[in-house]
Amino acid sequence: MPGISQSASELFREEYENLLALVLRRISTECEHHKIENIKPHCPFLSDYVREFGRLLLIVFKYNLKEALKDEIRWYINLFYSKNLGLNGINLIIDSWLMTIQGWLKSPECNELSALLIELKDEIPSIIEKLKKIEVITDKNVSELVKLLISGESDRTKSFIKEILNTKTADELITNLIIPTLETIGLLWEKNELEIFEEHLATMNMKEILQYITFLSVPKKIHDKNLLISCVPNDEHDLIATALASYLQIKGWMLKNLGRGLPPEQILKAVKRFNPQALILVFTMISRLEGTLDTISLVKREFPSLSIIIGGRGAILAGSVLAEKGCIVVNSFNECNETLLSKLN
Amino acid sequence: MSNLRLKNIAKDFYDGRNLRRVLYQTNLTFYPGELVVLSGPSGSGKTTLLSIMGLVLKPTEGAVYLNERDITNISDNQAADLRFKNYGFIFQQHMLIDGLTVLDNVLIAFAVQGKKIRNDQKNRAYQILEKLGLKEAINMQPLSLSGGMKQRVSIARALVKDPLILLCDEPTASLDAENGITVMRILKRTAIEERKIVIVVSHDSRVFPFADRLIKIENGQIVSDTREHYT
Repeated sequence: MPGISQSASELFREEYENLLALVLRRISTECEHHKIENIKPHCPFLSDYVREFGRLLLIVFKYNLKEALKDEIRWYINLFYSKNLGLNGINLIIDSWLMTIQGWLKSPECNELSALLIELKDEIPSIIEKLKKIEVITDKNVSELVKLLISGESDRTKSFIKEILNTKTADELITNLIIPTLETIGLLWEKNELEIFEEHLATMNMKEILQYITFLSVPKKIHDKNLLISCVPNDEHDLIATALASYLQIKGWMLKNLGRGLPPEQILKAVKRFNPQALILVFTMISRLEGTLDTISLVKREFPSLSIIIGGRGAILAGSVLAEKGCIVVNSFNECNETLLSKLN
Repeated sequence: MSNLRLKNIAKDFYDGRNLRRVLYQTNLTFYPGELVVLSGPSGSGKTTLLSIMGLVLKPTEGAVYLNERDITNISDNQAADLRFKNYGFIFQQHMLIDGLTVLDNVLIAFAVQGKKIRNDQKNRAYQILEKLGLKEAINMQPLSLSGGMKQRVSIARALVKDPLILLCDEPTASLDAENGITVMRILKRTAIEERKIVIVVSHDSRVFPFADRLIKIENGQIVSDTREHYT
């Protein structure tokens, strides 16, 4: 894919509200004429996806994160296939942005921005093929835990976990069972093989199970250091942060977990209050990059020597941007722990 | 399938001293059921392109096909006949005749043939005016209509002959926001429900959300052609 110049990215940002209004108008026009089969029930929600995709484009264009766009489009593919809109749903969103960019923005900027979307469209069939080949459940224990979590039977789930703890350490359990289970639940939901209530039930149960594992396994503190964990602003995926908190507690760290994404100012206030030796940010959706960078700048301004460690899908996709800001990007829970050991001890 | 096809079309004009190319080699095919927006700055060649599509201008090079029949070199009379049968035109100005009622302004599309207007033609005019929300205005005169209503009458006049192709030159330019959107809604519905080829020349941003296909032209060349892809 071609790169995006600064002038094109800035023009897109300046005109973003106008572009968004035109794209939303196009979506409502398409819904009115419902040329796409099955589109009608989804019309009330399509504007949310359009906005989310627009936020993604803002980030991708500004930071030249072309690979992130290809990665994030998987979420849309899963979403639209799960809603029986398939490729038409994805094309509706991309074409609407494409035509609006072409119609509203001047050249050559509009062509630069469009080229990236056109190439993305060309790659979608191969991305879909790859996605089709992904096996949802491969491990017997993962499959069992998923079943228990969505059944909402907390006592049976705890017994199952306790049994596994006879053969595995708690940190192994988190990395080898809990994380793959979370991924599996995410995939099942994206593939529309889970009802929304089942996903909620699984999330609630998983939080309880993580507390249970931590309760059973936390050693006396080994490291005399404080950590603060938080999701990045507007990132609602706090289950990963909860799992990480359990994992690090099991590894002997003292920590506080702020959970789902607070505004940057609130994260800064928490840093001031608790004075941690490291701030660990969980960053899932790449479209939250701006808020993440704001948080980092705000914290670094007042605490320049504070280690900021950041992980999650978004962090990996925007690794180079975050590293430039002085953050340490980690790929796994284990790498996070290793980084803490080397930085703080 | 019915279509309008431009094959290697180019157009030169003599400006008094030099021969100037105003439209470079262009290949485009239009199909029923799509609303195409042709956009570009003033002097970009979009009106020239529209005039070639509408058989008002002949291309210097290339060929125009209507339903796969080459109509590039037909006589002026043949062109007028084809236009009458297959084309409807909508302009920025509604071009209604004061002194005639709304219904008569629509029926004038038939009256220009010099033949008596048939009942079925009259009925079709009634139906279209009703569909466009002008039932109550049928016996009114253009002077008592709003700008938006006048433009809707001009759409009715273009549609009454049931043409395959609707060519619209800046149809929203003289309308306020609400009426502009109403007109575009009608054109979109016409393209989809009545399976017409609707081509709208415009640089009004309000028309972009209604496009199934957006063609941009600059300095006589197509610089982008974006169309939706649904299965």
